[in-house]
Amino acid sequence: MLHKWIFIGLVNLVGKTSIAEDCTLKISGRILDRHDKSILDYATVFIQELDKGNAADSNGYFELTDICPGTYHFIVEHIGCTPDTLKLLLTKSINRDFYLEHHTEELEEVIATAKKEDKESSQTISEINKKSLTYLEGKDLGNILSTISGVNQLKTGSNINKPIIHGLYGDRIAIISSGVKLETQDWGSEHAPEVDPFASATIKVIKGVGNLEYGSDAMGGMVIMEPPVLQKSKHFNVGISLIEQSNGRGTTTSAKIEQGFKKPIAYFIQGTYKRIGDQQTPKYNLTNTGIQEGNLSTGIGIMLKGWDISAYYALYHQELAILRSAHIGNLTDLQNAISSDRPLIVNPFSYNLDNPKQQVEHHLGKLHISKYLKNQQQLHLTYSIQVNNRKEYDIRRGGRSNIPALDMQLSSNTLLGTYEHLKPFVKKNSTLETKVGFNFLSKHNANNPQTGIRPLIPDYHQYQLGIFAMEKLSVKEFLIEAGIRYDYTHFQVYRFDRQNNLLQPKYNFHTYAGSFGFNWAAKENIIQTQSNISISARFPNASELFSEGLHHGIAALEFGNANLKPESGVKWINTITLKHQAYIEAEATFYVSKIYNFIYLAPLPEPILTIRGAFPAFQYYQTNARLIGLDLTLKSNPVQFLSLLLKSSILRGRNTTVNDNLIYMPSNRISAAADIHHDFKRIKKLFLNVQLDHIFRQNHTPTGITDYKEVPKAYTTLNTTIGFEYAITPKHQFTFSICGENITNSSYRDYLDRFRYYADALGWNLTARIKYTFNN
Amino acid sequence: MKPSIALRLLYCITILFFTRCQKLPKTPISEQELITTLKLTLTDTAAPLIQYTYVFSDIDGVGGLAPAIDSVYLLSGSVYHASLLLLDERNYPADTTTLEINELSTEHQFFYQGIPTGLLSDFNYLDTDSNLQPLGNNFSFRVSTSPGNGYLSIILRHLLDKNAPNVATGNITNAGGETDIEVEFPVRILP
Repeated sequence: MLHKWIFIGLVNLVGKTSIAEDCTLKISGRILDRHDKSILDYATVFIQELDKGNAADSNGYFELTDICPGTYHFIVEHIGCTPDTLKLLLTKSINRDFYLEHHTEELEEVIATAKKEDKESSQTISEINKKSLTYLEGKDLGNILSTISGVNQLKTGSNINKPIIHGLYGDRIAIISSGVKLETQDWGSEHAPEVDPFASATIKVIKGVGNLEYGSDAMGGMVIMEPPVLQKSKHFNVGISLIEQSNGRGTTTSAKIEQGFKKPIAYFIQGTYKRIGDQQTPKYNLTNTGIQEGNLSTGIGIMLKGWDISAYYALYHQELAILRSAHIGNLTDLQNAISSDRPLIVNPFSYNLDNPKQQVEHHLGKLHISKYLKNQQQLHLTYSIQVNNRKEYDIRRGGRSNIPALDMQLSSNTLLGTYEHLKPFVKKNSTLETKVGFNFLSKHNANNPQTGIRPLIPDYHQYQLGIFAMEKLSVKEFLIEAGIRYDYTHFQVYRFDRQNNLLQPKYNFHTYAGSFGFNWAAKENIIQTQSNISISARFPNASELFSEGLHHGIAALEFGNANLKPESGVKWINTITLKHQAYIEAEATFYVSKIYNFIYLAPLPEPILTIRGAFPAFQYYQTNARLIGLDLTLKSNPVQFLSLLLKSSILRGRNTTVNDNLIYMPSNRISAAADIHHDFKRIKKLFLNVQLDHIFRQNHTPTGITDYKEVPKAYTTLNTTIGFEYAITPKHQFTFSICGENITNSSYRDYLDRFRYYADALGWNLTARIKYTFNN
Repeated sequence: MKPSIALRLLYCITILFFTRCQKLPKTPISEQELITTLKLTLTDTAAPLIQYTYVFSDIDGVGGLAPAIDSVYLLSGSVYHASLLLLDERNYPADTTTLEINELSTEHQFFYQGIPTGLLSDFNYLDTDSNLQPLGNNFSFRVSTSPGNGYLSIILRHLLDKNAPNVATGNITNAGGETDIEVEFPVRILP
């Protein structure tokens, strides 16, 4: 299943362990079959805590060096074996053999570990590792993902950040949380994903259609958030984080407990609380921009005679205030707001969340059953239920402000079943992995009739049945994969027209998706190439079909188009990675994406006159679009204590039907960082990181659409972080960091911020993070 | 395989769950804050027995059909008394929004303007809220002595700051709040 070279060179370049006195331990040995003690060549050993691993050679011999003393989970894997996890305390260098089990049926403590198969894919995958996540704690998903080259944010002020992958966002990207596709009201540009990054142990971005098992509409990419792996070995881990930020006087705390027992059962429980007040630009307070958030996630897993059963639940509850000055009555108010240099309403700092505000709650429950059968066959069944409630409060007349202006509940149920089979292909060391399955989704959107306001999108029922098949062939350095998916969607809408007649339009969509690509990693990963071509399809959402109403944030009337056809996309993405030992690593990703029947919002020629004044009006149209882009990452370790990083992304989006640019495309950007680090005896991984981000002006805006305000100028921000780890004992560890963002306190506005019409982006912010971990 | 029965059962429960717990919308949402109609009643102070009523109406709300707007005819040099009536005419009998405005008078205020400047002048509030600050259901204004064409603009704001500078004298600049009404009646001044 796993390519033999994957783990070579996986060691994070930035955080590479140095040769300080204590961290020179070595573990070496052989990986053998438990029964006949035969050599398992090219097996892999991976240390989970260090995100570090190596492959055994043809004699089954492996070696891992530069390890600090401590307790680690070793994940041992080999083609044709069930992966095993073993916990070891390392105090000195040791030689130890690992044994793996071929016959899964007989094994009591078979461990279903987090699969690292994603690391070898024909699709380009970027992962935010555990260490990076530690220094990003407290930030929302959009902010965290934007550290990846090619990923940007569509912002609505400082609080609402939607990830954009290769120029696409909303329901053109899929967010997979704990193996379940997140079903939220993501049609809204001012609806951020309702998921707590603290609940994830790893976050990955697939810059392609992604894993077809989750759907076929991820035209831009897929975000995969995994909760902690339920290690079914005896352990007890605790993690507590405290984060204080100066801008908005915010506090975020999070705590997590993970426990496993000798019997193969494990659980975790995690909670987060966040409170931020009004945030500030360099020149003024952003009145009414606070957040309050409380999240919880928990999971339990049991292993029984080849069965692996787990349950997961996550609750996300957030209340966020929306910049008071961005609440616009009509065109006149908009013109007043735009022509003013600063927001029209600026009050002293407060933690209060006043109207306009949003209150969102998302529940995700999951039950997962896996059955490991003979001959490397697996059956997986996942049932999930999600309930997403969104309330938006407005400044209403006649004492109605405490009644939400928008109150919708989206309930989703999914059933996902897969069958996986791994078998040798023709000769040894070549494998063929097959995955087939089905996916049933039912979604219901219901508006609360008590709002007293015509709903923005109607009530609907949606049923979707998808079937898919994927093959992955590994032959030596080559990996070839192909996948296909078909979806049938039934969409039933219940809406009232202006005369209050109930209309019940029905839609049936048939959509197809596919993916084909290869990965070639030659000579111990010195060079690696990936190429993937995928087709994807997305049918129009309820907002694009039927939205009807006023968006206060942009003072615009928005109208759906009931005649829209499904979008279909083709994306070709190529990545080449070059490595020279630990000194240099270069990665370049080039992509071309064509989307047919691309749905976009364009202005109607005349503003619409109402009793509340005139409003610019927009309607959804379809066109053909083309996106071309390049992501570059260059890492270098010229000397032991210094790492350098250069990242850049370039993107052009064209409306090919009318030969114009696409609106809201990320502008080109470049960022450079230097990281000085050193390990002392007790203070480990002391580092100082300085990063300069430059965002170019977006010069390629559509000529056919006039923007209310001139496109913002290019800007540069300087960020710096200092941090270290302090181990009282190998079991008790502290991580400290202080991070300064926009430390020059420069005033700027970003093209992809919908509130750039009203206010500057945030001024400087100092964040202090303390994390305590106990691992036993 | 044994588990398949259990799975099938789970699947059926799921299906049941889907269809049961969601009910269809039976009644449309009744809009509570919609104002469809503004009636402007004018009397020339020189001839107070004759009332002229002009209407701005948009019965189907925001979007849909364009609003119907009456043209206002004024005599040059006259002083007019005006009164405003706001209605939601989608219901029969119509809901009188003006009653709600009077009830929560401290949260509301009207603003007026003649376009171009000088066409109409001397706007005066003729009523007050419960704090004795201007409200503006009733007002007066003077018409320019020279004939011409232009607009009479009427704006209603709620949750505004009535204590902000110049708001009490009818200047909207610092008022803030949210716009409920912003209409412009075409005006023709007769000699």
